[in-house]
Amino acid sequence: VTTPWNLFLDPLLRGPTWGTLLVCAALAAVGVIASVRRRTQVGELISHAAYPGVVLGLLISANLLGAMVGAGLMALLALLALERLSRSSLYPDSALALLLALFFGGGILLASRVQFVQPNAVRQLTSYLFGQAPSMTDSHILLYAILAVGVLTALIVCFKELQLWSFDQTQARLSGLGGRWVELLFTGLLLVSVLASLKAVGVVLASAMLVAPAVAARQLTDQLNRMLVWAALIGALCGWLGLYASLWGLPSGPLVALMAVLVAMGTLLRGLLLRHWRRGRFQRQCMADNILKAIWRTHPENLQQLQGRVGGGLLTLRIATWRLRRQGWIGADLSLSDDGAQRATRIVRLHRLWEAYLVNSVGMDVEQVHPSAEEMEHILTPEVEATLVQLLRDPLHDPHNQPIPR
Amino acid sequence: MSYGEQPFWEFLALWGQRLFQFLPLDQWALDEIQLAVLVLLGCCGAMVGSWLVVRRLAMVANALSHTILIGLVVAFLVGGGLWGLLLGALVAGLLTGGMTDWFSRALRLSEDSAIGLTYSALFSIGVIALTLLTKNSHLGTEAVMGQIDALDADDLRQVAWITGFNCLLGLLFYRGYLISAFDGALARTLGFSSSWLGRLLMAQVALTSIGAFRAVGVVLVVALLVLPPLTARLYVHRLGAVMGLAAGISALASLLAVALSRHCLTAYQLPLSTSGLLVLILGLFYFISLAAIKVRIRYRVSHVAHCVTR
Repeated sequence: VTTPWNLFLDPLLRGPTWGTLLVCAALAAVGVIASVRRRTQVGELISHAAYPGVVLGLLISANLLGAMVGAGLMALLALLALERLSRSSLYPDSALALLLALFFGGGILLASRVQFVQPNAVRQLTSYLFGQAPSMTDSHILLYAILAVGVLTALIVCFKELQLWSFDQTQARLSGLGGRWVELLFTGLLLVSVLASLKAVGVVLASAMLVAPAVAARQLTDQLNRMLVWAALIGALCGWLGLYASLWGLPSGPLVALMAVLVAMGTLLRGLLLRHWRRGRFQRQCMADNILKAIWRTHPENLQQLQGRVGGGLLTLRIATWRLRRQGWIGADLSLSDDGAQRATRIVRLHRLWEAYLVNSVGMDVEQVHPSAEEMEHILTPEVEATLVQLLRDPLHDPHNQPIPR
Repeated sequence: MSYGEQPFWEFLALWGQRLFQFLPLDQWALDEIQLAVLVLLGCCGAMVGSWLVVRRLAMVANALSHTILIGLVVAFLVGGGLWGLLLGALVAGLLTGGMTDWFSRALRLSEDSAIGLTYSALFSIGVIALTLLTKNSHLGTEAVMGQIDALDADDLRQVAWITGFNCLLGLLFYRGYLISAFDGALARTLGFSSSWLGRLLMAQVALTSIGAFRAVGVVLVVALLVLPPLTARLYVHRLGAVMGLAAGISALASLLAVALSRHCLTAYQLPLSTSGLLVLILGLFYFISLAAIKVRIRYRVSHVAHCVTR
């Protein structure tokens, strides 16, 4: 078997490679808008409803174009039915599930007919269920390239309208930038990109490529234009790698979907770990601040006395003091170094300044300000400190009549 | 004994005759086994699907009916059989529910993204694992399409056990489901845990799907779950009545589907998929009922208008 890089050039494999890569990129980019608008399940309906169309198209014309035209018409019918049903009192998810099952059932009925009329067409039919990208040829590239580039171009050209429509429909209508045609444009793009991907990804897993790259892109950035780019890149990457894996005789759809899901899970876990790490770092910093403050105020002899002041487990304290000692804030016998003393002074100063501010300027009761100051002493920046000093005219004492150190 | 090549009405007549002979199971014809399996699945579908519809979980059920492939992998690994299937259903149901919950709570994904991601992950892994384990690339296709003509008496026994178990669960937790579906606050006050009941419902969907995958395939399970309760809800409103009517509708549609597929084979030499026919007939029932209800409403409105103007 060849190397992944060679896929782009190999005369037999370049067709499937470029085809899969392009359609996956387009599908993933449309998926970003779909997941912002919570319409990914409509993509699922389109892909399942396209199946009877594929069967009919293959029955009539026996080539890819026929299958795609049939699929397009059938998916359009399903979308119209959804529109009609959603105006009745049916729940939206019931309507989706109803149409999905109905159209797919029709597809299976038609496929069972094909099975006996054209036995060799059955292989082609089942290949649309899970995708069979290696059966594409060079002639397919052009078709898929046109479709994918068309979809991506439309996304770029109408980006402003799509963005506004995705987030604020009222504003979109008022500013004249959107309205009905943007919705039609989005549905059209969804339709075209799902249909184009049926050969590569398959009926059953096309919606995976709508969801997974969009989820991954959302974890990497929070701007819509960057999300589109990221999703398209991830989609292309998954298409390429999934196709490479499918050379070992597995259907390409599940592999492409699995790659996309793995990328999405990876980014999700990265986000989770980042959040945990940030939280842990902040907690460690608070602990260090509290220890320095306690040493500055009460000069504890040993860890037990320190624990009485700061709280927390003995092991946590041992690790935290070890860390402080290594960074040079405290000496071996729990005494502050010069740097440590300076930092402890600053924390106490911030604590008492904040208490003075809450009592003098906000008008809170003296008894209530301590808990808030316990939290704020870790957060206040030098700029806030300078402003507080200016506002309070550089006070010498806090509301509890303790001196404010400088 | 086989029905051979019977046209529509003769099939029904013969079936009616044989129904009252109360034959033992080993003398049942293939068609009768098919029909019995479909009727039992219809009962399961009505029982579980009614809750899905009123709790607006139809698309979650769609995802679960796909992710059941993981359950099939588990069943295959432990060596099949009824207990293998039950274990598989349990694993698939809990995994799907747990992953969706985890995605939406811990990772803060929106509900439809969470469902979509779970569905894609488990289904793709399921197809790949089944293909690798069984060295048979058609098994995935079979699981999606169903293989109704390969059913035998053992399958019927399995489906019967699964249906019995499902109905038992459904009856035991009827009140809990009812209260948590319509009044979450009351359910909490009375001590029903909505999240556990939700998980139990998912396990029941998984049970139904795994019972049905051989007969109708995983995608059409959704039809059995959603279409009959929706049709029944057009006529009746009490939940017990919806379940009963839905089961009746499924049974009637199953009978028609089996008879019709035999008829097409005999009269037109047209072998049609029984499960595909079943779904279309169920859909037809729904849309005919919808139209009938609309006509009735229009008639009543015009009647009232007529009375008022007079």
